[in-house]
Parts: sequence; structure tokens; C-alpha cells
Amino acid sequence: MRARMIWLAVVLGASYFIISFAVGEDTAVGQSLGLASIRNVLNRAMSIVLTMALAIGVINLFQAHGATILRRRRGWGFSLVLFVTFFSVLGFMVWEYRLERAERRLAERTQAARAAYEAALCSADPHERQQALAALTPADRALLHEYYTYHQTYHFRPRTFYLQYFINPLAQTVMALLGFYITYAAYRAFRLRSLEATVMMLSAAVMILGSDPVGGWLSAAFNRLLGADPTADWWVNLPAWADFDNRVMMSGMQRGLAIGIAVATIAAGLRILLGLEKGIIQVRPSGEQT
Amino acid sequence: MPLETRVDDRRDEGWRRATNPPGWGAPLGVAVNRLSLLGVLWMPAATWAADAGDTLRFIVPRVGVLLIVAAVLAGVWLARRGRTLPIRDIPGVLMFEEAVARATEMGRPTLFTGGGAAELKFIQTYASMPMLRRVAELSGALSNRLIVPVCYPDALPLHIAAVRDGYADAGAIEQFRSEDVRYFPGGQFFFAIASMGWMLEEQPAACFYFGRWEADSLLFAETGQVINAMQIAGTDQLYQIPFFIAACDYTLIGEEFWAASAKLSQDPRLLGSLGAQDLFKLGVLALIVLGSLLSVIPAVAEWVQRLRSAVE
Repeated sequence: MRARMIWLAVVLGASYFIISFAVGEDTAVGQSLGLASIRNVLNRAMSIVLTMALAIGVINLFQAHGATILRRRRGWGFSLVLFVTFFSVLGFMVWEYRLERAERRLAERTQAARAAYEAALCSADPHERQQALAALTPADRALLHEYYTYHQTYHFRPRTFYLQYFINPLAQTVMALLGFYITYAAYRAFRLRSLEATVMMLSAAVMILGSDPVGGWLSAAFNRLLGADPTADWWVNLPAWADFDNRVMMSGMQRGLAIGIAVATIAAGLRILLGLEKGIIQVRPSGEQT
Repeated sequence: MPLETRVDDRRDEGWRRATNPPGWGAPLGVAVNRLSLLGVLWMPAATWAADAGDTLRFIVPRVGVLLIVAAVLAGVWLARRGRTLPIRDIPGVLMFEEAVARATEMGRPTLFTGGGAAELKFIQTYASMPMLRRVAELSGALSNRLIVPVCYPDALPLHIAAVRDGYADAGAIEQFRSEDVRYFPGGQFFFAIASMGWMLEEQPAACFYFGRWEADSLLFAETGQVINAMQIAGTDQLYQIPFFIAACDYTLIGEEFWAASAKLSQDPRLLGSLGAQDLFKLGVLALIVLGSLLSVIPAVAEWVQRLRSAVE
């Protein structure tokens, strides 16, 4: 029963996307079916599910690291750091929320005064502009002063501080690791272990040499060595070979892969909808979930 | 503006442009739109399509999808009647059991992850679940521990269910430990770093990377190399495939990733759908070859050029 309900939910949800794809949301049929409003309902439902999932994720995290701390397993200090970080960031976000709320209230309180001031500034006639500015009441002026002074003063923003000085540098550090890993993986891939590895190594060598000035210098040197006519086509032309490899061989391979992947993706989606794929939703004839 | 008025305006605009479309496809555009306006074939095309190019862009993908769906359904139907096309073996899929057995022999766990892009909104996440379930089943059968780092909380229940079902398939549900399916928050790179730490701590001897991988693919694969794990990967992301090929023992390239679940299950219906896919691709290949030949045969190319000039 449970499996059938899950399957039904998936099929109903997927039906929207299939119909939306087939007829288009902005077409007459799409509008008469109310596809846009259905999308809004699905988005709201998705938000609820995601929020619940986030709660599950946090519970999972706390369970795993809480058990590590309580049982003093190896690396329990790191788990403690996780809790400290979690509550620190939560505190930062609450702080940010309070600041934003104060800003929102200031903006609401000064809205009328700002509208009058901006309307006065927009006046094309200088005389009218002066009159409109002079008509602003002292209370309006005080509100405007408060608003613009607030926005011209530096305020510490916890979220910006956290993102700018913690998250971004850490993410960039991890990203920088990729450079080393790529070099190491390339070294391993280019060892001549088999015919395929040799072909890959040769292709990569042509690509690397042909894509930078060294390829041009080497090609010229080879052609001089071989006694080729410098005004005619070069016998050895690494930049042209690299270009051919990139534009013809690579694009052909990528398009071939892309066609296969596109067809397979649609077929896989259909198999999932039909409940044929084991591991997602599969209903046995007896009805129990596998 | 009322909804009906906007729709009518759009329909009128579509009709006006369809009756006087630019370019060489004018007659086709007019014909298709008239058919659509008559309500004979495809009503939305009448309002949406503005010229022949737009009409074709609207219709061709939908017809293509319908053909693929029809081919897959036909493949499944034929398979139910006992007629399937032979599907070649995928070496990476054949090595699943060996990898988990190796981990068991070494007394080290197995790792499965979909990476830092395994969000619930991507179909690759769903497609990798049969593989996860199979690995869990093998782990259960061989009494091996399976650890699964997950990057997104929405995908966590899916992973937990797949692992639990896999252990249940092997009749070893008591081996399932929910804390071994662990959520690492913070996004792609933080997930990668946390998972790498977990890998270095647990030293898995077999690592499976299946899903929609992005820039973190090499971080995982290199860490697996460092701990001497046997690594099997599969993704349909073109730019990550070279990294996996360079660093993993077996890589499922592109559509092999999509075919893996069928090969693992050996379900004739799934294998039948794979055969249908291959037949469809043969059709696409034939079209490409035909188009290429037509474009290089001088007489045909000249005729097409003349037709274009005449229409323009």
C-alpha cells in the first residue's frame, strides 16, 4: 500500500512536468489547464518537503556526532567543533535576521518621507523642485536624516562577515587542491601501460604542446630541421593538430556521448515512472515494497 | 489584462506571423499552423509557433521524446514476450561483487557516494539508487560495512531507504546502521572535504562513485587512490568522465551509467528497454549519416541551395 502511494505521488508529480513539456505553460491549452498555478502548488509542497528533509539532515548530523562525543570515539574533538560551529552560525543568522528586521522597519517608517523627497528631486523645473523640497516638514526631514545616515554608516553584517571571511576562503582553498590533484592524476594517466594509455598520452601531448607557444616553436624547429619550405604548409604543425583534435575529434566524441546520454536519460525516467527500476519504487505483484 | 485577451492576442500574433513567416521554411510553417488551428494535430502550436523555425523547434523534441518512449515501451513489451536484444557486458558493473569482496577480505568498509551534486532534483540521483541498493545487498551478503556520505538532506531519506532495502535483500537487515549513511552539510566542496576526512579515517577498500558529479569528482577519486581503494565510477557528466578515467579502476562512461542498473538486475524488461534505446540510436545515427552524405554530395547540396534561394 505504502509503495503504491509513493508511486502514485511520483506519477502525479511527474504528470505535471510531462504535460507542461508537451503543451507548454504559456500556451492557450497550458493556461486553460492552469499549469502555472499547479506549478505554484508543487513548489510550495516541495518547500515543505525540503524543510522537513533539512530537519532530518540536522537530526542525522546530531545523532552521528553526538554519539561520537558521548562515546569519546576517535576524533570526538572535531565533532565538538561541529556543534560549536553550528550554534555560532545559528547565532550569526539570528543576529542578521534582527538587523534585517530593524532595517525593514526603518524603511517602512520613512517610506512616505522618502517618496515625497524623491518626487521633489524628480521635478524637472528647478523652481518647483525648490518649492517641493521646502514643503517637506521637519518630521519628514528628521526621518530622511535618520534613513540616509543609517545607510551611509558602516554596519557590521554577520552573514557577510561569515561568508566573506570564513566560507569563501575555505571553499577557495579546497578548489585550489584540485590543481594538485589534476597534475597527479594526469601523471598517472599518462604512464604508458597499454595501447589506450599510449594513444591518450599522445593525444594529450599534442593538445598541451599545440595549445601554447611552445608548440609553435617546436613545429618551426622541426620544419627547419626537416628542410621544409618555410613559405609552404608545415609538415609538423602542432597548433593545427591540436585544433583538429579539439574541434573535430573531441566535438564528434562529445556529441556522440551527448546523444546517447539524452536518449538514455529519457528512457531511465520512463523506467522510474513505470516502477521498473529496483531501488527506487518497485511494486511486486503482491503489492509489497521491495 | 484578462487572460482570454492575452491568449487571443497571442494567437492572432502567431497566425499573422505564421501566414507571413520569414525564411525558407514559410510554406511548412503555414501548413503546420493551419493544421494546428484546425485543431487537427497540435493546438498549442498555433499560439506558440510564430514561424516555421519555431514550429519545428516546438514539435521536433516532442516527437523525438514520443518516439523514444514508444521504443522503450515496445522493448519492454517484447522482453515480456521473451524477445530481447543481446546487451554487451559493462566491465565496471561486473566488478561490483569483486570490489565489495576485496573490501571484506581486507577487513575494510565499502564507500558509496553520489558526490556533492547528488540533489534530489537531479534524475542521476534516482538512477544511482539501484547501484547503491546492489552495493548494500553485496555488503549485507558478505558482512561488510557500507558507508555513504550524503550532501543534501532531501536526498538523505532516499539513500537510507536504498541501503536498508539492500541489506534486507541480502537478509541481513540487522547489519544496517543508520549512522553509516551520514549527512555532511555545507555544499559541494565542504561535503568533499568532510567525506575525504571520513575516507581517510575509515580507509574503505572499495569506493563507488555514481551520480551527477561535478568538480569534486577528482577530490574523491584521488583520495581513493591515496588509500589504495578499488574504485568504480559512473557519471553522465562529460567533463568529469576524464577525471574518473584517470583516477579510477573502472569507469562507466555516459550512457553506461544509465544502463548499469539494468545490467545489475538482469531484469529482462530493463534489458529490453536498453535494446530499444540502442535501436533508436541506430536510427539517429542513420539520420546523421544521411544528412552528412546529402550535405557533401554536390548535386544535392546545389539543389538545396537553389531551393533556399528560390524561397528567400
